[in-house]
Amino acid sequence: MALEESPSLDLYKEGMPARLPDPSRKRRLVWVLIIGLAALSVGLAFLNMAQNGTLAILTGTGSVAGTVYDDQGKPVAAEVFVFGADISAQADPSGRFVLEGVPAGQQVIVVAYRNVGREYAVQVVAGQTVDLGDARFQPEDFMTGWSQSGEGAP
Amino acid sequence: MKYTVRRFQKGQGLVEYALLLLLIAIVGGLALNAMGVSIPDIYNQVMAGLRGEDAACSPLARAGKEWDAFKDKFWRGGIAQKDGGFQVCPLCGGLLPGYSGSDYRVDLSGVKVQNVNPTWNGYGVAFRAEYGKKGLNGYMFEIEKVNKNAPVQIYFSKWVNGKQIRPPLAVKNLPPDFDWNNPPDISVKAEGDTFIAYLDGKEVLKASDKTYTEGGAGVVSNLGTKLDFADFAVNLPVCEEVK
Repeated sequence: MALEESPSLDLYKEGMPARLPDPSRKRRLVWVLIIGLAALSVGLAFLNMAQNGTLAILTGTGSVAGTVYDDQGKPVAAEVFVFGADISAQADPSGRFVLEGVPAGQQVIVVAYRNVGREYAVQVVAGQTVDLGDARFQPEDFMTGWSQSGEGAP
Repeated sequence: MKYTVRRFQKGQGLVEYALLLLLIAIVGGLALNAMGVSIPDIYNQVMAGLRGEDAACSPLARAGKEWDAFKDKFWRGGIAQKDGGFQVCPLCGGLLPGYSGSDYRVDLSGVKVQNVNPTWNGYGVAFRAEYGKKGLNGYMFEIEKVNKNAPVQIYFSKWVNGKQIRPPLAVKNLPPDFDWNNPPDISVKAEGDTFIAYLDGKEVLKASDKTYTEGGAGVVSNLGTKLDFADFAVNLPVCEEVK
């Protein structure tokens, strides 16, 4: 025991006290706090991972498939990607695409053509292919100056 | 021997307290992150508060010589200083360098436009935005006139990997008390998941989205417009609106 932690002689001036002070109590309390905070930080780390999608990577991956059509109803070789992930694909001339290695869970798929995009929320299941169906652009999607320049512009 | 043990125990106590403080800091940081609170924003607000009430409303960032220009196969360039103000070429834009925050208000003032083409006229501000290899990610508020017969529209939109997401987050026609030929100043306040746009200090449009929680701020010009402006600044949302 450290000298600083030794009990004061005042404690014994009326004889041996019924309950002796426990010099290790403070240290135990500190360790209880340390273990409690460590457990809390692990829980919060999982919560953060769940919020930013990192946890989804650990739960496996699946695929998303679909077909893209322009505002005239014609299939287009659009760009398709997963929001917040480095996963993308190019639709073929028939508009068909398959995104592979998509983390399981709720994901947002962006289908982009002529500098505008449409978002689709999908529930990806590990080991399975989810069919997004038909992704169709509308004429009003291209009623913006941003769609009039760059790749695919009229 | 006894001396050695005592020294060891004292050292161990310090390690325990250091561990305790470290864990408190980690738990605090993780909890704020989980609640969507930006630590740089808190730092900015505390520092602004320490500088006093007047200084607290001094801009967090302001237009200067340097801009992070948009330049790729889509965007045509950045923002240049001109005649004591700034000029944005058609289909150009830029972000204030080195600034990123969560809750703030952007103020674009002293606006003048030259419509260099009869179509796709407009200008706007980007907020909670970043520009990288994949293009622009973030939000934009714009005033746009597609052609001479179309109504002037104001709208909030989201950008993902350089693509403008359709439909817009919120859209409406320019209120009748504003004149497209006398282009208004723009202020946009972003607080939490709510965005409010002001034209010449008057609230005109509101939108909500949770995709981007922080990012930089900048100015953009549409395909048919050359934009001149006197000033662009980022302020704390609590500070008075620009009139």
